Amino acid sequence: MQNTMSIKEILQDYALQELEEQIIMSYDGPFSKLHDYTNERCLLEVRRHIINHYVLQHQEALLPDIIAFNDALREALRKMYDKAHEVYEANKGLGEDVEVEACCYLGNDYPALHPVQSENRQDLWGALQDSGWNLLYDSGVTHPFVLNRDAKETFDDFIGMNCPPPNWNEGLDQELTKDLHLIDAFHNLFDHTEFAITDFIYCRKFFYEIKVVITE
Amino acid sequence: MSIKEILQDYALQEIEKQIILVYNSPIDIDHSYMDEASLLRVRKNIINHYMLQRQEELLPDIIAFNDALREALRKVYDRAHDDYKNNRELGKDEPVDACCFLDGDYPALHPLQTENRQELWEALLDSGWNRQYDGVTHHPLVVNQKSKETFDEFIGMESLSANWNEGLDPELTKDLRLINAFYHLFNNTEFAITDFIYCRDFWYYGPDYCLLL
Repeated sequence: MQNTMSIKEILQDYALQELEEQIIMSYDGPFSKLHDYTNERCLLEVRRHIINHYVLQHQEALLPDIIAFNDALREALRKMYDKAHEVYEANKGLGEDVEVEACCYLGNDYPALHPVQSENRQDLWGALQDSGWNLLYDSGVTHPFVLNRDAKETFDDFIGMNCPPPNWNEGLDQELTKDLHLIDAFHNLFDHTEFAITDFIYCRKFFYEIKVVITE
Repeated sequence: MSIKEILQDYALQEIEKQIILVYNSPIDIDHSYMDEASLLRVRKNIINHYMLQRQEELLPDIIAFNDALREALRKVYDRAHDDYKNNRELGKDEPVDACCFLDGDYPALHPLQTENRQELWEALLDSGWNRQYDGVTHHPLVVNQKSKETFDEFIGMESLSANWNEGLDPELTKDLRLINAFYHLFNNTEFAITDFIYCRDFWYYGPDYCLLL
């Protein structure tokens, strides 16, 4: 592919489109009842390799969205962190042992900012978010946040910003991203889940789930 | 872009690497390479999409392959009839089932010759996931006392105008007289067109032996 290609053009490559159609078919196509889509996890893996291979040659073009996504993600996790404390405070007297567990997920609607907007993208988005085959996305954008009697995790501990240098930019251009302060949830999505980088950096909406476990 | 350059596309290479990886990974109770047959289908769709825009370039090999395939099936037909006759003379009146397969060696004429192509070839030849590939023909040749199938019937050429070119450019291929085994490989199996058109060697699988034709 030419270096002059836009991110959108890269993502519209014929081979990628075929892979994505197969992902949608396997996940929810007419024959999906006859087989277990989770056996076809490698479709996600291959797609991710291909997209990252191409778009990471254009990191400068991605940079504004990497930054905006990291900011939005930090903000979402901050809200979840605060809400989890509120929930814990409201419930801590209800039993011998009270534990609150909070997980944050990417919004269910396909990102409106994504350069490719076509008919089947919401279907693809639904398929990619399924932790049946996107295994490490089971607890969302990062590990669950847990609050109980003993927990003393600060917000910076939780988002991995308490260690030097606080910048989870592994796998990205080190020079270009040296001042970004990427949080470890970014690293988790980028390195551990089956999302390609362009799947999540256009996302600005998140939701969280908070679970209260009371032991009497 | 040349045929070779198209086949070296990064996305295709990634898919092919994954095919080799999946094929060689140990089978466990919950998972086998056969569960990932869609990798073969995606690869075929991608290659054929690009290649069918280049049919003129492929034409010489389509023709040469069709000729070699017809020739191989002719030998299969004759040999199966001989085997049946010989068995009868030995007092064994059993039907003879015969099949023809592409050679297990990666085609020497293929424009891509790299280290992992033999491994890919073996993965593609496996009927565990290339499910319709149980030989180059749709069904085996069966020779028994009642069989009257002529060679032309066996290869689907009993009509003078027969040409199994569905899916190819009808104008460009109108005089090719492609046989039904070509159609089977192209349309029914998970081979991309460039997998088989460079192949010139075939195997005969008879009742109790096989040999290179």
